[in-house]
Amino acid sequence: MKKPVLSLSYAIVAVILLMAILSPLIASADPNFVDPFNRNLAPLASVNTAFLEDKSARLAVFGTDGLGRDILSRMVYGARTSILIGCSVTVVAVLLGTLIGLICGSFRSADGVIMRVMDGLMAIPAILLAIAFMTAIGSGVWTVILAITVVEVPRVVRLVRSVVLSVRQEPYIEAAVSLGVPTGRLLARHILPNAVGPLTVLATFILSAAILLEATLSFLGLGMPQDVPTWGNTIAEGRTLFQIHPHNIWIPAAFLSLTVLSVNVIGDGLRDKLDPKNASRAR
Amino acid sequence: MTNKLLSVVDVSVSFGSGQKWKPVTSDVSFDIGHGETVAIVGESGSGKSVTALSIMRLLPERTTRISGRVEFDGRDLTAYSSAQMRDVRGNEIGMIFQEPMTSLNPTMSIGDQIGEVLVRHRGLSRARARKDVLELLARVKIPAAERRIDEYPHNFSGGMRQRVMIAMALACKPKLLIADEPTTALDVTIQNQILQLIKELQEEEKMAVMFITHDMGVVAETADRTVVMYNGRVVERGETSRIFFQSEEPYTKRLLAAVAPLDASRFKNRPVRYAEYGSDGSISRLEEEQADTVDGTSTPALSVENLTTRFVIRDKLFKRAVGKVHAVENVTFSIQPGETLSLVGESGCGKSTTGRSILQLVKPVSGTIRLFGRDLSNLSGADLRAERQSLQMVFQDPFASLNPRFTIEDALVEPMRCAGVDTVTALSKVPELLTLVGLNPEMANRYPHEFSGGQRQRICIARALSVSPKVIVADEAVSALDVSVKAQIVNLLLDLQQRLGLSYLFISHDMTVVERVSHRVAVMYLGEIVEIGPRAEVLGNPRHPYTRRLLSAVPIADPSRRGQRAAGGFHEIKNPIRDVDYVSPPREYQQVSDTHYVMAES
Repeated sequence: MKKPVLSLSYAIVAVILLMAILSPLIASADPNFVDPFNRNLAPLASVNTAFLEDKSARLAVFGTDGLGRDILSRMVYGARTSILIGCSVTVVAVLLGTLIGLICGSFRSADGVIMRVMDGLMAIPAILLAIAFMTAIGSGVWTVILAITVVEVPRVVRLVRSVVLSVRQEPYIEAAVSLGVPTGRLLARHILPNAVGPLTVLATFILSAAILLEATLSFLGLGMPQDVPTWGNTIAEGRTLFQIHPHNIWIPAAFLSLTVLSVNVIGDGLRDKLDPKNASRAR
Repeated sequence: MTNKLLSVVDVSVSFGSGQKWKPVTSDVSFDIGHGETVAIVGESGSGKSVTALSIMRLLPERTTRISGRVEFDGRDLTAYSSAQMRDVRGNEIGMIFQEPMTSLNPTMSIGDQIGEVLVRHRGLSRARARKDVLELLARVKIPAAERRIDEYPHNFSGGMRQRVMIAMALACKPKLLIADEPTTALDVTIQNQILQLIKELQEEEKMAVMFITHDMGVVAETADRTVVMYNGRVVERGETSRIFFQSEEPYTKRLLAAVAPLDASRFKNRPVRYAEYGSDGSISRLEEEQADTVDGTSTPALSVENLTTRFVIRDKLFKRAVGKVHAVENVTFSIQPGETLSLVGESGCGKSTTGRSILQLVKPVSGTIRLFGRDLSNLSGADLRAERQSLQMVFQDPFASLNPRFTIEDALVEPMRCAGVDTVTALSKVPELLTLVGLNPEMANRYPHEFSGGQRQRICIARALSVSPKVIVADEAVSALDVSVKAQIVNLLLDLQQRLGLSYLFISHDMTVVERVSHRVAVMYLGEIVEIGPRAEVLGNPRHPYTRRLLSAVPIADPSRRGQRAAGGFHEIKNPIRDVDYVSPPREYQQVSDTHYVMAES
């Protein structure tokens, strides 16, 4: 392996994805099962099975939280929420942003208005904007996705617009126009393919930003409802006992930061691969 | 020869790294005597620039291997350290590059840039250097040197920048000047001035010049001796007149045939094919005049009346119009079916904008464009696209005008699909089109980067032909090609005209090509046509002063006629930027003969 960090990142993301897809199979317990006799177990402590139906001896791999819920199971189901929201936001933001970007790049009259709106959105800190949205429309999966998408769309618009504006200057575009290629086809077949590489890279950064933003919103109590096991919710609930039982925070924090870090490393790797100039310089 | 200044002995250069080394030049040898001019001639990729860079040791050391010896003034430069080389460069050997637009540092005033050389090599104080720079600027004939010394490169035109480059190269009175395509990026009239300037300075300084060029005309004008390079090897070297008149080398003969001036007495008003050469260098098909293709009686294929295109220049801050570029001003002409009209002029004269306005790629301000009598100017959208099919364009740069992501097949099928042809029919036409332009139909699935420049231009022509056009606007279609490839593409265009009865609007600045391809010639200057008429009359009996100046500036590829050209007077090309409320003066044209018109001087 030439790039061990990159390979490791792919492995981590693969594990998280598996956890998200196969949550019920991997999780050893119901993530919302409250067990008063097994509260705040340290990682790798054995579970007191005296009052449980399942008497088999087992370890709480990542310990339990203040209500005795199994942290491993909460992490596995939390991965499902994070990946669901991250991927939905990425897909919606890229599609919507590409459409708006194409419009901005092609029609000068629309460009001024739309880009000023985008500038406005970008001027407000992402977290503030998302909080404003959440308070305005209430919590829930779809509102979280909507709020984060609104934050991320301007980045896609800017990228696509700049690709359209620069590729439009290429002589082969003028050649296509003189050959009678209509505008729609020109955009789709000649201009947009040039944006695929940079968009792929941007998509990974949007994915990691969305996962992080979702966790932040949940931590602040503005994201997913309290009863949904997410990484952000788990961190929020562990906060009060942080001094005594730190694993309540550092385990979900480790999941969150490893995922975000891995996705970013993959994004960097893709950028080097898609940009021939960078690839040869890196050697 | 005892009096050698530079001798290059068996120099081979290869590029690469690790185990992979690709030879670029092999066993290049030649000498340059004191005060002598030696031209290195060859097409792109022949290794002529690499040879110059290897003499100067300017190639990246890690990825280059150089073997052989370079002796300069009795010393072996290959043994010099980098520090020692720095004392030679710019001091004993000066160099001028091709691109005057990018070879100067845009953040330094030209006075500082030239002065830097003097401070570095002569150890002069800045004040003293400034005085010398003023002298140098006067010697390279930059007017108002006192005022211009503190200006920055963007204030200078291309020709003026090249003068600045020359001043910089000459600052330390080098014994050898290496000029790498110094005039290729310049207009002919400017090229003429720069060549004369180099010649004058060379005589004053007794300096040797190594002149790298692809233009045999320039060689004939300047060089004492000539080295012909092909594929990284020297194929021939000798006295320039011997190379031109007694060469036996097939490659040299082919290069010369591509620039050979037409013998005007033998040809009348029809285009003339270039001679074709077989692989052994013998002529396989003689230079010949084309059959008559012009249909003079029907309605014109393309007629342009009072075409005017202007671009508004706006104030950065308030978006207020501050001026207008009168790119095309009141241009009127027509082309019969099967006829070629050449539009000639120097850069910025509006010839390309005329072509693009005709295709409605830029919207003209006024004027009518008729295609077989149907007016194009008021159409838009689908109607325009439908009408425009019979009017196609071939662009200058065959590398940039093909989408790199499309295979050749995709590129050829797309215009047909857009014209409403179904995919099966479109695909079945691809082999036919490729054969028509002399390419192998099996190449259809390759991408543009797998082809050479000449092949790509053939693909562009095939693409234009895919929708069966009647008129083709060729915008500098052969200008970016090497001379021998240029000849092939010109022959192809002429054959297609014969076979398909095409009309061409041939936009070019290259008079040697225009001379061959046109039935009629129109000369443009500052957005206006100053002279239009049959080729033989406009080129043989030019009436407008600008036409005369343009024609006299073209280098003649015949060393025996050297120095017969009138020395071109000093002039800068003006630009057609006018005030917002400028009204163009009414122009009148005088009829010289039946179809030969010249703009009356106002």
